[in-house]
Amino acid sequence: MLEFQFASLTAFFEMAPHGIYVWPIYGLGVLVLGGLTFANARQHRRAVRMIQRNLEREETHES
Amino acid sequence: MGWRWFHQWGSPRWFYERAGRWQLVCGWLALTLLITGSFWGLALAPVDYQQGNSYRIIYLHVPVAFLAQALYAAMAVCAVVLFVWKMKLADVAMQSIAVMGFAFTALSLISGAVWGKPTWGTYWVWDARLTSMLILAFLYLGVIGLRAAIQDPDQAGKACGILVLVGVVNLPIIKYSVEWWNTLHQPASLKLTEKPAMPASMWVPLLTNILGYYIAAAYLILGSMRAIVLERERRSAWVRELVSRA
Repeated sequence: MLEFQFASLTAFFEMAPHGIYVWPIYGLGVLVLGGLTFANARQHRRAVRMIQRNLEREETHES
Repeated sequence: MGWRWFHQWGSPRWFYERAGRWQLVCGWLALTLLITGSFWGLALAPVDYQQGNSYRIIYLHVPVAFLAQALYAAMAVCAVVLFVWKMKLADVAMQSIAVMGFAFTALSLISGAVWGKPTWGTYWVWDARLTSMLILAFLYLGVIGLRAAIQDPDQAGKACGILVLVGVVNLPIIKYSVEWWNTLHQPASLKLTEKPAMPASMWVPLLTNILGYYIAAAYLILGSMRAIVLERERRSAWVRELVSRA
């Protein structure tokens, strides 16, 4: 049976005496996954903008 | 059917059109698994009788350490595909995996060091497992740096492929380091061939997170590959049409 292993939410966040080690690592994990997702989206947007600029430049040249 | 499924991977357009959908599925699946596995590991799994709550770091450390090695092996497979079949997408995959692989290796080293402090009394020892993982991080950095240093993408791909294949020798060293040398790092917590030593209430969330991180890596690699495909294929008619419609 799955049970919450801590007496309170405070005890959960303290994880006495190891909360200071555990939580920053999970925070870093979220930061890495979020950062890579953000970096991918930015790289994709940048590629689309670059191609759009090239197309516009070509159109201006042709006209 | 035959080899058609394999040849389809030779078309960047075929990949780009499908990868967006695959990415969406992987993203939501990874998020669900990681939230479930992490909450289970942090709040519902029992406290370890020796390590106390510090052991809860393994729910992140073990999946990312597995992933760091698996991604390097995947990069080596891509290098072989690039050399044998000259498939452009394999080079794109190699470029994407190098960045993700470095990120997960760094996360594995940092989480291992932080777990080591309360468990071993030190953040770092020059133990065979830790050192070979550090070499893996340098190999990833080497691949990223080498690509950045060579302007021609084809030449860069070939050079990176050679470096990746040479570096494969480090993978068995990482795996067997805990058996070949007397290390502070313990043997694998989870093996495919043996029943886990820990109770199910501890290993089920670990397995959930391992699956979650693997799918998250797939999500990230697909996203990065789509962006690289767009950049590399910017002169192709299909990309120009796609962007002008956007």
